[in-house]
Amino acid sequence: MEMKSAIFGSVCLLSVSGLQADILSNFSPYLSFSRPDYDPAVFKNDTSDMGPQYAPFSPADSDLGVQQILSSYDGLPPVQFQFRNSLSYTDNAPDFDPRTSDSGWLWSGLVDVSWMPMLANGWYVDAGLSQSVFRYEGSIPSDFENFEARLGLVKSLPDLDDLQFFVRFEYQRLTSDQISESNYLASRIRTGLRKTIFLRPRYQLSAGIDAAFDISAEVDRRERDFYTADVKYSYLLTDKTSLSVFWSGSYWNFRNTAREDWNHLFGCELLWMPTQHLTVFTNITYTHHDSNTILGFNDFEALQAGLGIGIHYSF
Amino acid sequence: MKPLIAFTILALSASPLAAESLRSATVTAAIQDVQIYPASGTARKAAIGDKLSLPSSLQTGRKSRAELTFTDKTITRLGQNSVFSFREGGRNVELKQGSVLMQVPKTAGGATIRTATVTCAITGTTSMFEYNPKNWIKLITLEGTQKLTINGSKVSVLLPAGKMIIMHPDAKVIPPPVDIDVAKLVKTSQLIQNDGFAPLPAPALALIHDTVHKQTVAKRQGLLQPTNQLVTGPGARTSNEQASSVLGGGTRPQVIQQGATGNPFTIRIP
Repeated sequence: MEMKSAIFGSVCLLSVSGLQADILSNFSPYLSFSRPDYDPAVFKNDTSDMGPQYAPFSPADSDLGVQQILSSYDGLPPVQFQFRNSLSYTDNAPDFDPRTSDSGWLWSGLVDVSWMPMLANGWYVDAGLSQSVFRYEGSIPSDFENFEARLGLVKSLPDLDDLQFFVRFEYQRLTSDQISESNYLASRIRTGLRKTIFLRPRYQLSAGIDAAFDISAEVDRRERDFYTADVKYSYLLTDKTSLSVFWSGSYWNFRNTAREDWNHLFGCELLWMPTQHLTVFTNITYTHHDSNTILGFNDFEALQAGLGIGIHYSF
Repeated sequence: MKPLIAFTILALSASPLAAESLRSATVTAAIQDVQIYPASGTARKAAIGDKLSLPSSLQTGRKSRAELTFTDKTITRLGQNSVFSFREGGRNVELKQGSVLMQVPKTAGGATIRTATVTCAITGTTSMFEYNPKNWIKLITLEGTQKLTINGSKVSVLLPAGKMIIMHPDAKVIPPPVDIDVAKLVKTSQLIQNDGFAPLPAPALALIHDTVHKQTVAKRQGLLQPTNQLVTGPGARTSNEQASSVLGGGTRPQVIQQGATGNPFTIRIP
């Protein structure tokens, strides 16, 4: 009995100290549309002044080859805005007690603003702000908000077949229903590489690796380094519809504790772009998380399926 | 004075070739189902070495391709499901549907590809052309310059190397050209890479390489960027981790916030 109490006590201690307020990781950088949309109207009569942006599919694509449009840099680019809403169902929602498995609905919303002017010699600035909101069915304590800011550099390397390199500073602030009171603050440096490995008119295979290193976190023991690899295969069903499957694996190394975690995410997404500014998507993901914490306290599995819309504009 | 003499000699030496019509050609590649339709007689399956003379048509089936070499070394490669003919004499050919790669030597007199709605004039150029009556017209210049004109219109658009025009077959206006990644195109094009075709002539390949090099330099400087390549940094966040931060609990199942027009941390090269 005493032994059980001791174990339970250890678990509680871990949950309150070493494991709580775990900072975020990134798992699915490819879960989005990676082929440009195009507006068929721009190719039709008397609309030439709009200028086509992307080559549409046509019967001879395999004969002509991949028609990747290159955009020219004509001065300062517009600011990009994204708005997103999704409704999902999960079989394992987060709550105070990590041992329970509560299924339920969740709504998430996002506003993202980004700007990428060219600095010099092919180096682009990457600046952006985003605010996410998560609301869970019937469990108000789970609701939270996430604010993130970033400032960095991006460089495409044509001599390495358009390999893309980025490095940036990130700032993150989490709140729980009260935006004025933060539950977590962190800043970090992230760097990585992205590559389209295989590109054909109808499908493509992309991959990326990145590493992030905390500069500071609200509590020292939350500081960690994490390393992520991901792969995504996309098939373009039509000019406006894509189906993607992806995997992402991440390793977390906590600096001030002995904790090490592995995370795997598998997913599938169907995406439709009815217009140049609107996206409708549905996806399903499975997550497997394995930690070396005592009694598998941080191990979990989760399945989630959702439906959402996104709006994109530039000004 | 010397340059003028040299130019005159060159012009004279080129003139016999320039005057030569695209009247006859040899089938130099026939991949799978390729049919010849002579003006008289019945259709027959094309074979390498077959001679075609004016007027004739060539038709390719599904996953089939063909190459014709004219007497002035002009090379014409047909993609699958294409119908191509040369009937009018002169240096005109007609594409009723499908795709074609044309490589006209600098010393030849150029060529004109006619379709029902547009006409493309090629002079010492390597180009690709797709015409689908109910779909798209696509015109790509790999090296040199060509000119596209809507039939019945005096307005034409010059298309230099590395550029592409995409338009509806019934368009009344030619849209402005866009830059296209020639290196990726060449690498993935069946009209160039198919094992059934011999390599393009060395001078043409050298000029295509120049086009690729110029684009690479522009990309290196950031003046050209692939528009459909999204650089994603940290993608959609796993909100269970976020939630656990807020809740003070352990690591919990992930809630993925993703999809839509891009991840919150998607970097898009402008």
